[in-house]
Amino acid sequence: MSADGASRRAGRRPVLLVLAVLLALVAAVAVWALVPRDLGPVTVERVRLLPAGVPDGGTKPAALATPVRIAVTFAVPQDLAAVREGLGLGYIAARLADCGDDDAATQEVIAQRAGYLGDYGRVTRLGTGADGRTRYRAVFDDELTATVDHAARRTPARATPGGLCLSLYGASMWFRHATSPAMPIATLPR
Amino acid sequence: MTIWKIFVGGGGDDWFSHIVETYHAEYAKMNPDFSCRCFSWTEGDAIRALLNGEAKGGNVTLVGHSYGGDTAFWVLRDTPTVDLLVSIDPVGRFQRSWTAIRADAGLWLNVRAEPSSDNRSFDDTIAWAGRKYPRPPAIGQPNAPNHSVIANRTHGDFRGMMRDTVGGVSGRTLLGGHHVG
Repeated sequence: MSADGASRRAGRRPVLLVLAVLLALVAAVAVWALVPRDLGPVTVERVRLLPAGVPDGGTKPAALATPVRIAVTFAVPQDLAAVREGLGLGYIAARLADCGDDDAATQEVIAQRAGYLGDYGRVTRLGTGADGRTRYRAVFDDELTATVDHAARRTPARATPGGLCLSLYGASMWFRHATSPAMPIATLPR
Repeated sequence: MTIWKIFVGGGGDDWFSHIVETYHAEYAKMNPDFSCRCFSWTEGDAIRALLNGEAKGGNVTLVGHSYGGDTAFWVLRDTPTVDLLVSIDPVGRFQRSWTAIRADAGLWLNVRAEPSSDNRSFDDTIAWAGRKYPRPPAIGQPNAPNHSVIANRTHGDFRGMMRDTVGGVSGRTLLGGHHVG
C-alpha cells in the first residue's frame, strides 16, 4: 500500500462523513414531512338528523343546501386550534366518510390558518368540560364527495354501504398531514 | 358550446391538502351546467389530452395553483389557446417565459402572493424554495397578463387569492357561474 493511496483515502473520509450527514438530514426531513401525525382519539357523543330548514348556525350557500343534514357532537382531549398550531398544519377539519371508502367524504373546517378550505361556520366549539375534554358540534351535508376520473362524484351519506365514520383530518399545503382514528357513528335512519 | 372549467392543484393537493380539489368539488356542484375537471400538477399529459380532444372547440377556463399554475403554463405550449387562464401564485422549477405564456393564453389573470412579514407561513418558505414565479410584467408592459393581483396572502390561501380583486376583477368573477365562498 502506498503512502499516497492511504493519504487519498484519509482525505475522502470527511467528504463521506458530510455526505452521510446530509443523507441522514434528508431522510429525517422526509420522515418529518411525509409521516402522518396523530390527532389523537375522538369520541362521538351524539348524532342527529337536521331536517330541511333547520338553522345549522352556518352560512353555507343556499346552492349547497341539502334536504337533510347530519349534526355530530364529538369530544377530543385538546383544543384543536392549539393542536393545529402545535403541529404546524394549515387546517384541521372534521371529516365524515364512508367507513369502507375513505375517499368518499365531506368535511367541515374546525381550525385553519388561511382560507385553505371553505369555512361556513358549521363547526361550533362547545367548550371544555370538567373531564378536560373539548367538545365540538359539526354539521355536515347528507352527501359524500369523491374525485373520480377528475370529476366530482356524489353519494348520499346515509346510503353508504360501509356505514359512516367520523374522523379528524389536518394538512398543510405541501407536506405534513395528520389524522385521527375513524369512529363509526350510530346508524342513522334513512 | 360546452363550457369547461379545468382546475390544476399544486403539490400534494390530490394526496392530502385537497385545497383546489375541494374548491373544484364545490364549484362543480354549484354549476352543474359546466363541465368541471380537477387534475394534479403531475397530470400535464392528461390535461393536454383533454384540451386537444374532448374540450377542443369549447369555451375553456384553466385555473392553476402553485405547481399547478406552472403545469398550466407548460400545457398551453401544446394545446389550443384557452379562453381564460387564471394562475394563482405559480411555482415551478423550470419556468416558462412570460413571453411564451402571454402568446399562448387568452384572457389571463395572474395572482402573486406577497404576504406581509406578520402574515407569512411555512407554505411561503416552501413556495420560495420550490421557486416561485417572479412578478409578471406590469400592466401595460409587453407580455403582461390582462389582470395582475399582488395579494397579501399566504401561498396556501387559494380561496382568498381567487377572491382578491383588481379593478373589480378577480379569479372568481372571471371564472363566472355561481361563486364558491
